[in-house]
Amino acid sequence: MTAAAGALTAPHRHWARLPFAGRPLAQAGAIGAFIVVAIAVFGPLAAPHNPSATSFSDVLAPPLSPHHLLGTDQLGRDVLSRLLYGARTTLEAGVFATLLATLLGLPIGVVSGYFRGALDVVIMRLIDVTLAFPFLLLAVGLAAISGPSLWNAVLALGVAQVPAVARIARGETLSVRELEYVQAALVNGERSIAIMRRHVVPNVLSPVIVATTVAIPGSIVGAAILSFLGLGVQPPTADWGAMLAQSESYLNQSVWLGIIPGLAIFIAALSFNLLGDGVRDALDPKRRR
Amino acid sequence: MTAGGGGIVTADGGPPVLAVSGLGKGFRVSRSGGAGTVRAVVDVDLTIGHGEIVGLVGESGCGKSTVGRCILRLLEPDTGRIVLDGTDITRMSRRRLRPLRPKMHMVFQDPYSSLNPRMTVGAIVGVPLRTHRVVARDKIGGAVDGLLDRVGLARQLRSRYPHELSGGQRQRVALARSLAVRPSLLIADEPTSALDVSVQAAILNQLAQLHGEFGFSCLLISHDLAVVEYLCDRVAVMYLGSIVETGTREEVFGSPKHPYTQALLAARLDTGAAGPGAAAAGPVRRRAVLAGELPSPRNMPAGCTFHPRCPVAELPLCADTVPPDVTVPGVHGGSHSARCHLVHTDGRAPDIRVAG
Amino acid sequence: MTLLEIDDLRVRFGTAEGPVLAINGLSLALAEDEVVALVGESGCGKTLTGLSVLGLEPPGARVDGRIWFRGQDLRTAPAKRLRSVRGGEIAMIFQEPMTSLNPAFSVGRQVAEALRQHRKVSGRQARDRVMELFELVRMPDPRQHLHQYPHQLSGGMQQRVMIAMAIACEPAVLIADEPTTALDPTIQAQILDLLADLRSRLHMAVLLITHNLGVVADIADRVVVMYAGHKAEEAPAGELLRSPEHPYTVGLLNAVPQPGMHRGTHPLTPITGLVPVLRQPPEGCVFGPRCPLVTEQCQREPPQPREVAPGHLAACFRPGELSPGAGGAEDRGRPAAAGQGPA
Repeated sequence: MTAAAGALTAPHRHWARLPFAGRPLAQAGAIGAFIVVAIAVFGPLAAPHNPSATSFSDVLAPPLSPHHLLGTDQLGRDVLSRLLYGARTTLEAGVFATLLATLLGLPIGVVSGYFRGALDVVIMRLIDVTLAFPFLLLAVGLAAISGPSLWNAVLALGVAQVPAVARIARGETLSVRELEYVQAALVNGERSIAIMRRHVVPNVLSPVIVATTVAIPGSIVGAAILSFLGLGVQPPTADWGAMLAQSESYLNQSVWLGIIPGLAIFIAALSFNLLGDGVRDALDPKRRR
Repeated sequence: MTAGGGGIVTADGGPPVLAVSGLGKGFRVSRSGGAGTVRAVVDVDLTIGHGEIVGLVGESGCGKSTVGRCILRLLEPDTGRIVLDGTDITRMSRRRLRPLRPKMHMVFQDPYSSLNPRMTVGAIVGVPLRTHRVVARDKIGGAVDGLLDRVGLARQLRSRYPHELSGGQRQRVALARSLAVRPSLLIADEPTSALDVSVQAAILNQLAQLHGEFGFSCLLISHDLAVVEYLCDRVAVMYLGSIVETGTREEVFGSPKHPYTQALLAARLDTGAAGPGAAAAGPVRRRAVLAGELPSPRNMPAGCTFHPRCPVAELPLCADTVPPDVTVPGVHGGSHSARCHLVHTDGRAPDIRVAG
Repeated sequence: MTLLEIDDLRVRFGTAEGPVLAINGLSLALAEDEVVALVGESGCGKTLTGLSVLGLEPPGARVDGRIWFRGQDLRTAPAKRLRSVRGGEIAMIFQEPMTSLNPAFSVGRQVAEALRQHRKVSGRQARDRVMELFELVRMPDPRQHLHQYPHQLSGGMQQRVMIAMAIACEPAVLIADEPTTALDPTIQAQILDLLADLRSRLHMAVLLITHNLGVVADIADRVVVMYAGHKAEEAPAGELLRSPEHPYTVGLLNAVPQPGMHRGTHPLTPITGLVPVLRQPPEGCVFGPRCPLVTEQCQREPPQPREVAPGHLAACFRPGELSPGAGGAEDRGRPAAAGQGPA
């Protein structure tokens, strides 16, 4: 006799990793993101040279030169090494900024959506103000106060992305709080904080995580922009955006100097973007029953 | 037992578990066609004694779910009083209400959305125990197991998630959750409507059994007359926000006085299968006696809200004046009252099922 | 005169967890001016049967068997013929009218479109016909409703619009999938009356898909009871309700509270266990695991529907041995076997 009760199969976990079977774009994104992260973590170990070691005798060497697989920059520093070290900085900026946005945006959005009323209105207007505020101005301001640095860049980028995360969290909270299991919790007499912790946040997390994954490329590009403008990391720290910026004057002599970091930024941003899409598609239809 | 209404005495002689009087609730809506107020509940009186199962019957839009939610203070009533176990909880602050929460609980209609998909069955049933510190922390597991047994679920299901269970199993989990803190009053809002026929039977049995064991009072909200007749001791029929008829089960189902109740009963589809009181031979053919649609709740008819659709309405009386609640003698020995101008205190009433 | 004949219908799906055998050898026939009810609980395959007739089964479904309509097997008919049949000769209405109607267009326009799909009529003629149809389906104010949008109508009205759309081209067959399940009791009564009236007026054959035996008692002439993709029993409606032969049918009838029954004095007898999901043709009777009368024979070979009385078929080796209202399955909600539990 065939298996009865399809509902009573072996217990399976929500968070089983899907390999994005049948979704080549998402798989490509996953692989790309994985590579970028791997480079960020292990890259410096594989770097052939000190990224800050200058060598005026070996300036602007083209790729495939002896000792310098990707050539050297205008100060004779090895591009490959700078690329590998730079991955870490760029990714740090991207990931931490997004993490900050999530840690701030999630509770703000949930609280706003759960209590509604005057509190919601006030919070949403503040969010709108933040949204209207150009993050570059914030970065410049922070740089003016405490000097340009990676952490100022992270702060500026993070704050700039809070509205997006908060909005998503709030939207999901608005629909979740009408569901009957939240009503049941109210009938139970659970405290508001407990309800938000137990019932709202876990069910709101999926779309927020997806938004997060998609926000990372934005942060990466944002960090690159800030470096490009001199508001983020300072030389001689290797950073893809800074590399791109500095290459500008030398493009005539060595176009690779611009292409390589530009391509790296592009690939990293695209990978996380595709990964985010894949995660969203994987989570959404599966979760709804 | 006397009819619904404030200050009554119930079968066991003690004060009722729930006494609702003059309950009213309106909603402001703005939609195409301008803003307006929907009076979802109008002057509702309801009483439930210890261990009683009272049915609140009506079609969609009659306000029965709103009544349930007002009682639980999920919605704030506009007018009226709600007295639970002797305590007036109508305007109590959330903080003062919290310790009284264990006295009343609810089972919802949709077994899919009434359980948190991210929590295991064990966690779901354990939360009320935790919140109200009913048992010591280390005893919670055992208490949960005990509850699962009582609702007919295998203990292994503790570690499962709701989506791994069938609809009937989820409703059992919902029952376990509701009964964890031994409420005096359980409100069941269409508990079996979303379930298959055979599963419905199992859940109805379970509910009846649990009622016998735990002894809670129950307000059963439903549009399904078969379920109400099966489970309830007393019945209240609602139409467009008002209660139009109340009485014991035998009275209301045996000799309904209000035209709407009669229409509801006439619309009932019976299989005519073997059963006490079933028709002698063959399937029962019934006639649809009620024409027309429910009027828009924003434009509630004046006087008796049912008069536009009532086959025996007498104008101008029924259109001008809200009918009084008329108590009639119980032919089956129970309490009985109806809100209708054409119902007399000696029990005379129209019967639209034979008209035309 | 037989209008539609479903012959040995089998439908299979591939799912992430493996193949699913949704319908396994269903046969039934529909004649003119007849209401045949296809009854079963969720997952038995009744909706899928209705969809398969029109070739509307979900993508990924493998369908075998024959669907005879007007001398032709619809399964092998060319696409053009199938399109002309859908709506023109065989129409279907669904459970949730709100999701079946397009919220962006007025209901008058939608019905007119349905009409013009199959008939060459001018705009004016279409509008007149729509008014006629609205009157036929007993809408109180056809002129006003013509220009209204679905969300402005109640559930009962929306269902009437759906019915109007379905009968616009005077189809020979109407497939109604749970047409009143989402409606209130008094409205349900109105719609069922309407369907019965239209059936005799238009001489349609109606395949009424439902899980509600009360609906069956009300307007069905013949009943086919389905269980897990198989036909369990088939009989004239009155006879099925009075003297059901198959234990599953008995179980269904026992599970519904009858007038006069009350808790405590009349415990209902539910059917233990859950509806199975079939992955391959069953070895024995598909209802066996849940049947109080199951024997070794039942577990060895699947019973085929056999005539137990004129016009009355039952797929059972022990038909008629379980009487409605009798003890039947035990289970008062206690867990049956370890890890299984009741429904």
